[in-house]
Amino acid sequence: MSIYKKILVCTDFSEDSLKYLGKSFLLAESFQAETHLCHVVLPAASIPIHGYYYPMDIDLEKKIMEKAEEKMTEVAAQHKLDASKQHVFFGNPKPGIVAFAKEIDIDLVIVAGHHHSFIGMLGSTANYIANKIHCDVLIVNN
Amino acid sequence: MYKNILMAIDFSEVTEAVAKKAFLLREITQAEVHLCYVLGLENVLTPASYFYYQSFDFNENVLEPLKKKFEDYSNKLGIKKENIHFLRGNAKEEILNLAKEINIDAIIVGGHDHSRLGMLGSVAAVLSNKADCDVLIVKK
Repeated sequence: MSIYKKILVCTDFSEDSLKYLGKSFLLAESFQAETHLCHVVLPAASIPIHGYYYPMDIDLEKKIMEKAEEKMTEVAAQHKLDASKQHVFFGNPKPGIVAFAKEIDIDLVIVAGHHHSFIGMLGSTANYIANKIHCDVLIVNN
Repeated sequence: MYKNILMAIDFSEVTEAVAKKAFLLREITQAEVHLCYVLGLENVLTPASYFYYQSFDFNENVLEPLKKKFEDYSNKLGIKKENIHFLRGNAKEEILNLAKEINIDAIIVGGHDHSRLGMLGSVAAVLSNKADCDVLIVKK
């Protein structure tokens, strides 16, 4: 058994992060670890700007959640992942992932550190995770 | 998947964990492991001129023992002579340059928490932000 027993792969279903997913799973497989895949839906989309805005699309959260779950099933099927190892939840991705990793006792978190800007800095979520998480982090860049 | 792995060490508590994980990665990817240590240039600067002991020989007292320690450590890990890099300068820049120069695919670095806020060390933060390759940040 390797040093890593439980690995959490985080994705936002963006093109970049899906591209790195194959590599992440390959690595996780060679570590012979239990692999979990997680996606966090940001509730910001459902926060109304004005009060009267709200009843117009009260099911927005639900729709986004459903869409995310659909996408998750599709991606998980590609990588042959059990339903018990797929996690889609609602919340702020940064503290959400950090707390979730602690909760299910993860040893290694794999995130895509896709470069958003010209300066070539990390994405903010990857940066937050690298800073705050209790376990090892692998930032996949190429 | 990986051909060249660079482990950047600083002889702190986390170094053992870094080595352990570098060898785990080597085992599964059959990559070549490089070892590097960067000694900052500020070590030679003295705060004031009178501070500089006449008899103090930096090379003899600091550089040579450190080099020896580094070489002993690389021997202990069984890393080839041509794959060890003892560098002088700014750790962040030197590691990034070295990684580019020898086509590193993954850098393994200790991200030990220095502060109560639990933030990354500055070298790990800069490496993860600026490196073109994968970065594995190891915590205790």
